[in-house]
Amino acid sequence: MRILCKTLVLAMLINTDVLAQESVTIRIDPSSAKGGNAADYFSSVNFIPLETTNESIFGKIYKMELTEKYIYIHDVETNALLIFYKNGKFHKKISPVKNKYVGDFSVDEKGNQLTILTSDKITTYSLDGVKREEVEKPEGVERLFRFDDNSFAFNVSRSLTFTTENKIKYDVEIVKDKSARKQLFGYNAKFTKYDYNLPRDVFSNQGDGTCWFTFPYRYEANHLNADGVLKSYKMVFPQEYSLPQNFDTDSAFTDKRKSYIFSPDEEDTKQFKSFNPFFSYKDKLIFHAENISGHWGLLNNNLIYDINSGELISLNSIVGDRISSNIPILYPKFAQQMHAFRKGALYTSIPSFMLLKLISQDRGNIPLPPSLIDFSKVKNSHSNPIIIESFIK
Amino acid sequence: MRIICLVFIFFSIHCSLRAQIVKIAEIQGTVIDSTLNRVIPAATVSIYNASDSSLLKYSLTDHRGIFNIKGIPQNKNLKVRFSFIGYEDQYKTFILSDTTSIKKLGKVYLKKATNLLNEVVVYGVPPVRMNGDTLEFNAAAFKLDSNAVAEDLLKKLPGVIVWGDGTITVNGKQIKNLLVNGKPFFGGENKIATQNIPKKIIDKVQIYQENLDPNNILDSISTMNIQLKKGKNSGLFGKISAGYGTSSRYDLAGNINSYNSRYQVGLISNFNNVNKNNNDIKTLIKNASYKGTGVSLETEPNLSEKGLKKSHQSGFLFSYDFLPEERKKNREQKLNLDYLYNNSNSNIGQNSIEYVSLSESEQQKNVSSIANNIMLSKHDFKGAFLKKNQQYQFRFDARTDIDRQRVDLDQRDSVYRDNNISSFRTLRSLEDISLDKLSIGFSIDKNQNLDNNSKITNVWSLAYSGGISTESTSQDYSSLFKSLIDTLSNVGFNREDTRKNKMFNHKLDLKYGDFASLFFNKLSNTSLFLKGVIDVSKSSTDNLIYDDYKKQYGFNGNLSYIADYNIGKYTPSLVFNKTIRRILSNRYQRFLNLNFDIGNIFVYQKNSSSQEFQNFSRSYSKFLPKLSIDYDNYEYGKYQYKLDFNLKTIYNFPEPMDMVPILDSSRVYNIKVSNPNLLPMRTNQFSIGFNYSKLNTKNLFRFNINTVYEIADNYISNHTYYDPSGKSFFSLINVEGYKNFVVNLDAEKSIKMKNSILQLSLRSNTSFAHVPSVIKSDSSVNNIISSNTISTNRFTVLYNMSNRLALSLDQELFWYRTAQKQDVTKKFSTANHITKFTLALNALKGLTIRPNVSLFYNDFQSYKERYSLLNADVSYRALGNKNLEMKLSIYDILGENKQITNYIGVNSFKQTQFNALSRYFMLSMSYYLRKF
Repeated sequence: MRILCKTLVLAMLINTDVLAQESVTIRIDPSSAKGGNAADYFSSVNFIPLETTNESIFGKIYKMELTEKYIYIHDVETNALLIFYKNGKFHKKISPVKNKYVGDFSVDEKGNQLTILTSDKITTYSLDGVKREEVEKPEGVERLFRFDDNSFAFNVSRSLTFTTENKIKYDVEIVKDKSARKQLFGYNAKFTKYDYNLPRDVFSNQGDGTCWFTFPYRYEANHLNADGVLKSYKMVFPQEYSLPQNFDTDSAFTDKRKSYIFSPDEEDTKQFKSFNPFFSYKDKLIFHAENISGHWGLLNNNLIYDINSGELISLNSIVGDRISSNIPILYPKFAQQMHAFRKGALYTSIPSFMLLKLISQDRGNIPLPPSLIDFSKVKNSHSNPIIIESFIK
Repeated sequence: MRIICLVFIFFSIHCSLRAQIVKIAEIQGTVIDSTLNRVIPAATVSIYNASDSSLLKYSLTDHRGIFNIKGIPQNKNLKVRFSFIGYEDQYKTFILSDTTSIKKLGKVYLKKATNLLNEVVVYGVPPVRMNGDTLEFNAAAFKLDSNAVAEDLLKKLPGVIVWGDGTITVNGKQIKNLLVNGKPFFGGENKIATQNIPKKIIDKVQIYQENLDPNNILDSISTMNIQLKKGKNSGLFGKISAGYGTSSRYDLAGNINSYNSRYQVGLISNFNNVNKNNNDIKTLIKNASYKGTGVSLETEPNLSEKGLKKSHQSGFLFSYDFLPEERKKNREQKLNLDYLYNNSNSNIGQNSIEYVSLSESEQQKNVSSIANNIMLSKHDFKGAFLKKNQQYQFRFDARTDIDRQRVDLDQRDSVYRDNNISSFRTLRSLEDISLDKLSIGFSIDKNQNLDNNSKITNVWSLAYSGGISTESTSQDYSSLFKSLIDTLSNVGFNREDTRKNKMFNHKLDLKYGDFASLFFNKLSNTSLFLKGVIDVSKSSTDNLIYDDYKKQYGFNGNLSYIADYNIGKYTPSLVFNKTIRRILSNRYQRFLNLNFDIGNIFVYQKNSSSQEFQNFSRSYSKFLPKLSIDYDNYEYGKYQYKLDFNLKTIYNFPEPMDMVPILDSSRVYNIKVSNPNLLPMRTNQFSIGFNYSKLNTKNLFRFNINTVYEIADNYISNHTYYDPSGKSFFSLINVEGYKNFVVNLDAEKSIKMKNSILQLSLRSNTSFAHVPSVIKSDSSVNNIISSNTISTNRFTVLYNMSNRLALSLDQELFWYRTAQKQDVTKKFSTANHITKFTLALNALKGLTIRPNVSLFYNDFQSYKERYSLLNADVSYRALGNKNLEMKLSIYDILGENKQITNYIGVNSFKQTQFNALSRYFMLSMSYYLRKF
């Protein structure tokens, strides 16, 4: 009886925060997502070739954020945070000391600060990359977001093993001046442990001092500010796109999630494992839903959903046209995806060898913009990827 | 000159074929979903000849839904079909005129299918599609002969090359796993699957990457799965054949194989006296394959086998999969058993001539003639059980060998000095050898648990192997040696030699780690393991010798002995590994891997013998460092090369019979003398390898070069004394000055044309060795260093056209050279060339004519010899499914076949001629069982 009471109290505590916020459930069928021409959905498209030098060369955009002046790119392959000007010119590279790695970063444009999380430190820089201060990383922090009031949202990793006692732990803590202001998304550590998971971003910068937080194995996006959860969206997908019900909480899947995700049965490969990134713009939700098998973009998983009209657009199926110089804004092959969103513009990228190939093909008298003419003259297949900036209508 | 002519003829054929190509054009467009207005990537666009519905071209749309297909014939009534799963097919019909080089079809809209059951399939299934990450070719879309097999289908697929040796490459990358319904087929021998499975039961051929990294496009196509049609998961196939020919030659064979989703079983039996004998059951099953409609260049009886062999072999192969559906989840549980009984009777006649340098002015010539009859009876049973999941792998192996062998030898030797005979020897021997051997082994591997966050990753492996064998030999021999120089040394023996040996062996291999995170950062890509190998064995020998002395057999106490030899080896080592990775997504992947193995070997040897001088015990402790550095560069879509560098030290520890052998004076030309002071030999080996592959869909080019340089301290060589009669006494000694340099080169190029394929390959191996030794005669003692060069090279051209014509040109060059330096300066050199040309022509449907000629050239000590081997066969396949094959074969039409080998010793050079199969005709009939 005592255990039951304890469990009920814990369950109430866990749900208190979430229940207090507005939660909207949306049903989406990706197979009914529309395609079309770039001009149908975007007002203009710009190409930003990122300068390639021995210092600035990097592999893949793992996370990207922007300000009015700069583009910030986290690259795991070179273990660096790279700063480019908005025109693509290289500005600075920040690499951690030897044997430390860049785990995450956050840009606070209003507060003029860039925060980098490494394996042992949280370091603050000015937006142009000048180091300001450094503090020890609180234990267990895996990802962070910095609000414009100088508070942090920390994503704390779950334990690798079960604890023996009932104990509430939280996925997100909002901290200001080293003291916790709020704890969000509680779970009972006795029944939950950190199952094997790919490192992934959980915070998406909305660009207005707020962010979106998403979970692994759960189709839920939570809009956060420094005071807590503003709004939650829960998505429901058709069965072929959905993990089994309660995949993240049901103890029946304990220690089985790894093999389900990494050695899936063929019929399960379409299923989404999480959202990353997730943004909103006017009445639109813009997000990338990751498949568990990493299919090469043959699925419609980069989506724009209009809350009012219910219209669903697949970015994977939008064809390049005159406004994009016949180049698709999201080349879905090779796991390309949307990276960032800022002031009505969606940011994607394309590998240089693929862009060069597309430029060399029959273009049907559609001219190239000057940035790409210059790019095609001097670049080669080893050059950095090209950022595509597309303004949503 | 002959080779140049053949190459010229070949390229003339090729050029004239190209000249007939008609004018071609291309079509372009985009495939779009008509309802959602979105592009359809990986939709199939197939172009048919509208008049006969034959497939001309096909392609998939790219990720923007765009297709662009080149090479389409003009002035033909064409039908283009657009298809995608879940959509109704669309068709467009047109003719490309002479003046149309590009036809733009614009947007082609596909409508979602509402009721696929009502779809009228005019042109069958589309030829190719992407199914997730898997490229799938639909077998039904490729129209082939009704008797075609999987290999005929694979040859039709773009980017797929089936090499002469059965290897399959896709876009330049070798297929490492060929599966049938997701599982290895009869032990994973490619040809058993590709040359037997009928094309008509294949649903699709799937090509996919086994370790797909979604964040990187560095594709590594490695697996091909032949997916059979539903309801075709089981089958029965095999071959029964019988042939009889002149000179009482016969060849009878039967093979039957059956499989379903859980088990595979194969039975084979053959009887022949045409030198067909193989110790591997998978090879035997492969040789009985159906081979489909293509023309095969493989010749059956082994005319290059030495001697004449009559053999009978029977065996089975069985595998059982306990978890047939779990393979994809990395769970396996299976049992493999195979057994082979081999009974053979060989008659080998050989004549050899050997030149031996004794000193600067002295040379000895040994002439030898041997008639050998070998009767062998051998039972070989192998079993393996494997169980694995994501963390553990357990394997158990067992093998038994039961061998009985009788060797009847009649040998005559004579030794010449200055062209005068100095001695001769006759030897008759009858030896019975009996070997019973049981070996077992098991291994457990535990992989890293990725959820484990402790400092030591707790990865370990344990492997045990052990065995017991008993060998007994009984030999009766008589020899008579007569010297024309020193009649006092004439000697004759009648001897009975019985030897029993029992041996136990235990080996334990342990590995534990990873300790790297105790010393290095987790992200430093380092690993540190402790390894240990314990190897102990005991050998007990009981050798009893009786000599006939005045018609009475008496015990020979000088040669008989009872001995126990114990040896223990322990090799602990620390293995450090560091990998430096440089990966730029979509561009390149470069790895530098450093592996340093610091080990020490402790050896203890003890020999206890009834012969006092054989007793010894020794112990050693030797440092065993090993360093390897590999660099791997993969440039996406262009090429891949690998560079590796290895440095290691190897020790050879002398065994009792190397140091304290029993001196047996009856072996007059080969008497082994003891040297108890023999030291272990240390070899330092240094190797560099370079491997390059061009990643191209049509024309594949890859080559591999590997060089090894080794030098030795205390090299174990011979110290040989030749007495004036030609008797030789040798002991093993330690000398300095050994070095060896070896270069291996393999290169392959393939050019795939519309209806034909050209494959070129070069295999070359050359070694340069400096081998020191000591030669002693009555007049001098000479330290010599023998510089030996051996080069074997093989260049092959294979051309195959439309399953109607196949030809191969094979040029083999062997070159041997030995030069003695230091106290003796002598040179010998020889060369062998073999030029082989085979043509296979499907003259009429089912009728194949296959002539084959090999031209041999041999140059030995300025004695030049040329001879030819000419074979031909005509075969006809009858009955509806071409199950019945009748064949008339003529082998060695000119009656010139013989086999010649050359051998280079430290101070000698030898050529041996063997008897071989000679001219015969054979008429054979085969029936292929095929129920699928």
